[in-house]
Amino acid sequence: MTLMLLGILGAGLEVKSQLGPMEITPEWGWAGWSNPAVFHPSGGHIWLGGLSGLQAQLYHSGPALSDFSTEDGVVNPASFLAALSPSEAIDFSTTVPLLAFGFREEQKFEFRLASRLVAEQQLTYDRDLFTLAWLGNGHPDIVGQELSFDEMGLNAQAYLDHSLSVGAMAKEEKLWLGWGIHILNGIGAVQTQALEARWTTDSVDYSWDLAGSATLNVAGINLDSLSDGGDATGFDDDSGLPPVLGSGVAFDFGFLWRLTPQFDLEGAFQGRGGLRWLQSTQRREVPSSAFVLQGLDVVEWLEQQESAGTLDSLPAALEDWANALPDSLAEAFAPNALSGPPAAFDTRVQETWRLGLRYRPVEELEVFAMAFRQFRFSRQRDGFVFGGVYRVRGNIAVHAQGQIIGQRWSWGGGLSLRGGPVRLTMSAQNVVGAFLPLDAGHLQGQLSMGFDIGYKKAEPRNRRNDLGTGKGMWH
Amino acid sequence: MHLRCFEARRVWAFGSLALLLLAGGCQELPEEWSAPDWTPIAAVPLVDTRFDLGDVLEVVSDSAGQVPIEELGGGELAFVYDETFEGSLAEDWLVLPEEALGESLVLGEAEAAALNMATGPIPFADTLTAQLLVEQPEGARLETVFLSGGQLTFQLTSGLGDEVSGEVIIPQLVDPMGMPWSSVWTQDMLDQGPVQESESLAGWTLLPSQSGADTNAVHVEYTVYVTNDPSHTAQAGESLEVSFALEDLTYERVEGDFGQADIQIEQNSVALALFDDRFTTNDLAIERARLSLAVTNGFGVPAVLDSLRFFTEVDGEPVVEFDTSMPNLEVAPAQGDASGAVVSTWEVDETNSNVVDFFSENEVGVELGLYIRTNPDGLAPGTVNFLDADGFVQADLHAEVPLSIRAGQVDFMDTLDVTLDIEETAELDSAELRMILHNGFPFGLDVQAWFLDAAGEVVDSLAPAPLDIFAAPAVADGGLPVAPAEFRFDFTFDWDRADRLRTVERAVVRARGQTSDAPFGTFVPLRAEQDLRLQLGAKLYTRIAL
Repeated sequence: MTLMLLGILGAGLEVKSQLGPMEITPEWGWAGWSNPAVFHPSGGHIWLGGLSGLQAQLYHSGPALSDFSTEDGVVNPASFLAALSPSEAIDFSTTVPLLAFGFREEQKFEFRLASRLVAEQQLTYDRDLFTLAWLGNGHPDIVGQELSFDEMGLNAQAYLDHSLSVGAMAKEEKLWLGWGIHILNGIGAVQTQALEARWTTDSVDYSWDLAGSATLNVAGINLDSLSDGGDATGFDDDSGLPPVLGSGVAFDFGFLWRLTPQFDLEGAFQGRGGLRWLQSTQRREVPSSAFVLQGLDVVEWLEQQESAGTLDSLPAALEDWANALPDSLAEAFAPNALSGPPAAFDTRVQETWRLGLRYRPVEELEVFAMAFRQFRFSRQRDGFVFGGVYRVRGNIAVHAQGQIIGQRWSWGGGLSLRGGPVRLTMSAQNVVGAFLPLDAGHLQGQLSMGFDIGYKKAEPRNRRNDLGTGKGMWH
Repeated sequence: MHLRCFEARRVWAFGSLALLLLAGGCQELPEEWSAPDWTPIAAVPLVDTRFDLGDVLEVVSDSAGQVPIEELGGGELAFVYDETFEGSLAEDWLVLPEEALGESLVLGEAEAAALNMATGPIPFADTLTAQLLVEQPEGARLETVFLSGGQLTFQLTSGLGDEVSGEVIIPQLVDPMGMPWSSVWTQDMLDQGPVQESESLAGWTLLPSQSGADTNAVHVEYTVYVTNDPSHTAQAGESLEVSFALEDLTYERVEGDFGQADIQIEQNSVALALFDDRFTTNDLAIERARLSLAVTNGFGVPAVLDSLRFFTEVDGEPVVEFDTSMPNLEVAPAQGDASGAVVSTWEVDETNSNVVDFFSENEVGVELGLYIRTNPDGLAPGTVNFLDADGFVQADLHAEVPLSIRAGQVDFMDTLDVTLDIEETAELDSAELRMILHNGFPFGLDVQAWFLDAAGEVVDSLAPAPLDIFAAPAVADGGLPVAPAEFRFDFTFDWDRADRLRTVERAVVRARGQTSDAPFGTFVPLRAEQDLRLQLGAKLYTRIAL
């Protein structure tokens, strides 16, 4: 079982990468996907349907397979535990663009509209949980220590994101600013609002001291039906359309400051906002409780046996006592279904802050370096990404990047091809992971197809500024 | 130049990327995964319980465990021994005698000649006297006996040839209406044979006469009228037989002077051993003891307890004879009737007796016998003793031995039959059973056990050295523990040991104990708030193949 669990955690893992070509370079997506102050290379663009930027990501913040296994498949759980941070997360997110278009006036102004479906999930777990499972609560490293599982939780949400953003040149050829607003329609959510779980095994008498509380909010999931073995989405809805169970708004802001013709300084925050879930919500709360397991009270048990006129053996009594433990635990930490009207709750959407430099030593090549911070649900990650984009005749753009979060590197890249008005892009944030799955596994892929309008045709090669993006097409 | 340089860069860029990929090579995920055995250590609390002194004694000694321990209040504990001595029931203590009287009226020469010449009835009168001699209690003088049962039988047989009639009366036997018993007979009745009469005496009252020389006397007065039959010549020697019998007399109540008699309280003999022959003890002593004797007197007679016999003996030889400076117990009479029984209590303790000397580490026989003596000062004028049928006398002995003891040494050695049925569990490598004892009692006990196989060979032992399981806590001036002493021990267990233990058939257990500071003569109190907390926990070293 544990081996299976380790396999799931380690399979294709390692990830830490959070920014890729789509978020850095306009050729891989619609403008405004990243910094709203950065313009799309074409005068206009239209992206339709699910292939216009489909992106799926699976993240695990924990160790890679190579950290705790060999190429021969020998798993070393101790190494796995040693490589774990106190808490880790498994993130899965899918973004399905529905519609996007944008147009710009030279380098002065750009207007964009986009709609997409976002589904994201985050499962967080504590290192203590795996340490406890592998070593056991009686291990010298565990016994007497307070194990905390406070960081565990499950958060997930699905929503429609309808965004409007604009970019504008605020100072002639020096400063561009961008703003965006996202109207969010929530479809469903699960939120671990609070979780406290502690377990201490006494080092002297081995008694257990458990304490905990939890609050779980859901929207669009019928917990009553689920607990009865029924349909998880047991609410009545015959419309066939995704229900709108929550709504919210999020904002973007960005700037790009051209320090010199070769150097740009850029910064942005994106997706600052969240959803308030109001419809079909339910809450389950486990009040703060404690449970102390001290062993069978033999004297009391004997008295009960005598009064009942029976006399069981002590081993049988211990077995009965052990069998009753789950019920005792369930009783001690029984969830309460809160009465009254459904309680509203709030969730945040993914938010990214970044600050970086772009440098163009020659017009075909652009290198960049930027630091970023991302918030997903309640967790925060900091990282740094650097790389370059090489553009060939305005039709081809190749992106390469290195990225570090924590102490782990990942190497990504992308390819953007344009034939006529059609643009086809693909990228991965961790290309090496596809070849070295034991060392780096992060699964992330993106594939897009859209239409560029008003792109500039290639000039004769002996002329300057012969890139398809042309002067003014790239800031 | 610039373009050529850039073309070179382009080549380098793609080349570097290719090299990067090639340098790393392509990894393939293993088709099979393997992992070392999963060996978690589970720590589980098994038992957490508190034993009071009664629980501990039950384990330590079967016989001691049967001695009830009670809290006297304020947390003071004591061995408490209660014994009810059924004394005497009224019907056993005062027994009415049976009496049978008979007399013959025989005609002499003169009476026969006079009768032959008589023209009318000639009366012959006499009185029969029955002395109801009460043997138990001896010398009791009965004034009133309310009978609940009995039978009076009267028979008259006439051997006279003349006509006979007459009457009989017993003035001391009255019916519920106060009328004395009497009877009349005629010749017609005699013609049918002897005259017989019987009377059930339930509800009748006997009023024995104590006047003159009478002692519990019942007089039967009868008069016989003999009328001459001309056809018959009376002859000397003809006779008339009269007989009475009082049988199966039972009473509802008796009043009188019962004199100075003993009311015996049941004797009791017990063999008392706090420790059986598995124990060896030394310097065992108690500090205090209390003894109370409550005599419930349902007899309407005062008495005195002056005949207590209480002693221990070994092999028939008295060891300790009870001695006290307490005055004798005066037992008050019941008030009104048996339901007004009065309880008189006599209490002694270590300050006025040698009762503590009765506590012995060895098995001793304890003999207790007592009786009370009635009317020790004689019957006061104007008073009367009474006894109801449901009257009784009993004595309740209540012995309290506060558990303030000193035991210099208590050794225990026993051999037990042991069979250990241990089933092997594949996932369990070994285990470690941790025992923690928090001893709040002011005594210590160390234990060792050896496990023997069928040949008597030692195959294992509890521990290399005796375990100080009941670590003796330090005690304050009053002998009370300052804080519980803790004993902690880990019993390791693996399958090699299990194999050895499966061969065990006997276990030799040796324990040694003493109360805290016993060498200094300290008595330590055992109190209700003291207890022994036992905690058992296990560390299970498991192994699960993945």
